[in-house]
Amino acid sequence: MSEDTTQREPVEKVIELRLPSKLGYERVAMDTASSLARRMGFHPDRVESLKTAISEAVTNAIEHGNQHDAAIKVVVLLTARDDELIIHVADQGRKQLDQECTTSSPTIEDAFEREDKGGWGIWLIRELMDEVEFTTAPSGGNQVRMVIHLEQ
Amino acid sequence: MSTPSYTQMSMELSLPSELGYEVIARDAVAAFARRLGISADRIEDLKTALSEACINAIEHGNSLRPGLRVQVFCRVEEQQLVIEVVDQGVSAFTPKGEPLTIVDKIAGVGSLRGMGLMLISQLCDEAGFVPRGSGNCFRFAFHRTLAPGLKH
Repeated sequence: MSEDTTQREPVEKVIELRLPSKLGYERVAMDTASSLARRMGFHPDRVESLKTAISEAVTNAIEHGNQHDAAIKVVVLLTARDDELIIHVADQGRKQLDQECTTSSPTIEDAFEREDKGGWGIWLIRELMDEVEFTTAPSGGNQVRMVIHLEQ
Repeated sequence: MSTPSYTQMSMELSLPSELGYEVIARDAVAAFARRLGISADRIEDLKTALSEACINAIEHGNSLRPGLRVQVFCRVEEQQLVIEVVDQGVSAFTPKGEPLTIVDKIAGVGSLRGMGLMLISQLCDEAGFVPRGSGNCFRFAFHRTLAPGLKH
């Protein structure tokens, strides 16, 4: 790799975490991300936002994408750059995420009609993170890419 | 939804081989161990042992060479949590006979550094290098039902 500092690419450090698809293990992703974010210098409030967003993303992957099959993994990539933290959460796509869900906002009325009162996860992720993108991997898995900027 | 078997409850973590990242590994594996019901005292021991094993992998196994990775595998067995720390084997571990005890160290026999492996073996229920095709693999285990405290 070139040592040329005039055209320096952002320095990237990637941590990869492969978790069993069992509810509760989203905590491992939350603690790992918060450990990294704290050391990158994120404000404690932002670290809490990050933990909530990761929790929602990994819980979705466990429950929906991987259908609670503990034998298959949820893959979490944490990419630390100088000015931002990028988080990818990917599942195996046992169930495809309805792309419409990724852009529409739930309403209180609709949520109350649901038995689990759920459906707020994606909305919450969008509220908490600076950039959010939902995609489908070539393998068919659901992926979400979230970015949180480091304000100096 | 069936109860997942122990062997399915594994976690993998891959880190940049750079000093400082052992702290992230420590927080990730501690969160995983908490899910398994390992006691808080033993988790403190586990964190110390894992930090030492990761630092060994970064400093010795990978010889502080940039761009390399350290992998941490956490495997759940019925009685124990088995952790393997794997480096890329720039420098192969060569056993130098029986490790010195802390009494020897304090008495000035050998260097005051290099206590990592000794410390790990004191904290874990089982520890040592295991053969692997490429790279060094250091394996250590914590009983899942053991009472808090050091091994006897």
